[in-house]
Amino acid sequence: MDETTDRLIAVRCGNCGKLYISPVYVCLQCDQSEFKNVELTGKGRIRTYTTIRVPPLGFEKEAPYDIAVVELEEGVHVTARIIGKNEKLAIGAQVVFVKKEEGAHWFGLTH
Amino acid sequence: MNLREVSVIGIGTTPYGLLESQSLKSMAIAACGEAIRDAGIEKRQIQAFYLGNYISGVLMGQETLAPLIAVSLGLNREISSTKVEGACSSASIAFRQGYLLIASGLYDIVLVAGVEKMSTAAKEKITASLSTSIDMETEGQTGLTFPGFWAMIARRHMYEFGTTMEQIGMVAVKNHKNGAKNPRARFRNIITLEDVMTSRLICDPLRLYDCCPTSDGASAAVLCASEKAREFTERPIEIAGSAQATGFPSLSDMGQEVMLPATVIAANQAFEMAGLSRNDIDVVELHDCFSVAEIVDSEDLGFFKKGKGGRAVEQGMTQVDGKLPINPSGGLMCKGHPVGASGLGQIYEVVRQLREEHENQVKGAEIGLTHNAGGTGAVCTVHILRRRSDG
Repeated sequence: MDETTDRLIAVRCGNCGKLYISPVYVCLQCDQSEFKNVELTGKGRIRTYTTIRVPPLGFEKEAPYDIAVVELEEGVHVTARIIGKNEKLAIGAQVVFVKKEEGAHWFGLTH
Repeated sequence: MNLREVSVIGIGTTPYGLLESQSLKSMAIAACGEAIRDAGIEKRQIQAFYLGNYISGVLMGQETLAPLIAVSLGLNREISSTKVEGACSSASIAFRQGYLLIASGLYDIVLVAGVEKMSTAAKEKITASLSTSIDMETEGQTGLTFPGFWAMIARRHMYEFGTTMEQIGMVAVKNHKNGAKNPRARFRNIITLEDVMTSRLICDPLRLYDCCPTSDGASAAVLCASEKAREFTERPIEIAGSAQATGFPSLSDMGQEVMLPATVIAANQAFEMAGLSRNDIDVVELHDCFSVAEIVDSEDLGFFKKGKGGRAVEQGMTQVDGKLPINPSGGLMCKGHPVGASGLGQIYEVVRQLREEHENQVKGAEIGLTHNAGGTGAVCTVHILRRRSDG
């Protein structure tokens, strides 16, 4: 979890094929627990977003920062940081995966 | 299984707000003492004690709170004292545990309480403590906060249904109008829509007045088997429905961002248990931790169609004299939100309504509903209370 990676890895249930991007321990659709890693394209669209101006402990130096729920091409949703100070955040805006760092997914707006 | 009927026979609370000279113990003992006196019971008649608390372990460095308070209160040490945690639903869970123990026939009288001490901690530490009910294996790592969670729901609700920031802000205006008359409320001032919409941005699009204030406070209730309630009080309030359901601990797992599924489930269960319909409810205290939450909750509880909650506020339907009065106490937004106590704070307010002794009395209120959404809606509770028809 602590490593930084630029590959967007999800897991697919070996039995029913359901896709998960969060850690998963048992498939919620078929109750099996054999998963295989799959790499996603990293392309997605913003479903909703906010700018955090009052941060929790540990994030003071980063505020204000943008967070969005991203719907990936493959259908799964992920809550992620959007890199940079963004003036063009909008529902439906296209984003692309940049990195996973300390457990957090980071995306960037595609122009 | 045949469940026994259970009634609330006593209530007590501290005011909510910045109670600087008060400790966790002193607040809990004040609320419990008032509830015990209100019920007219002796302490030795209490057969179990359940306490709701959310963040005192992290924030105050104090755990094992239930026995700590039970001993200080002078409860019989032959009884169990248990703390329960379910984020902002903690006190409602304590209430429900008391209900279940009496309904099952195991006990006749149970004391339930909730307490939280927040005002002495730094803002960043409070924000971080509250965020611990977001899944820290996933979303928590992004720096998401609860205002941020609700801000994203607000944005999507506006996008899908045309809800406006004016409608959302009107919740804050209404709840301040109500809280101004409530001596237990942290804020007693009336605010305008302009005040809300020009206040400082917290998490876009939510502003300061869209957020509930952190608060200190404790609330308590004495529950009793209905068949014995008349020994103690002339005005027992019956628990007609009690439900708790499990939701998602992260927004991305919900698959949508406009409703809390566990609220829908718990509401359906509570109404079925009570044998009542939405039209039977006279007064509601629901989980308005943020202005937009009141709109979302009112839809999820089934009072308005999904997407129509904003318009209901705009049309005045949720005012004290409206068709469905919501949060006549001022709600969490104005009354304050001591997170581990608020569920019983709502019970306190609704019991006063059903006794017809509330500062914002809903005329002729006989049936009331309370609702909590704990964390990201991971723990949702719904209770339906009813004035006894023989009362």
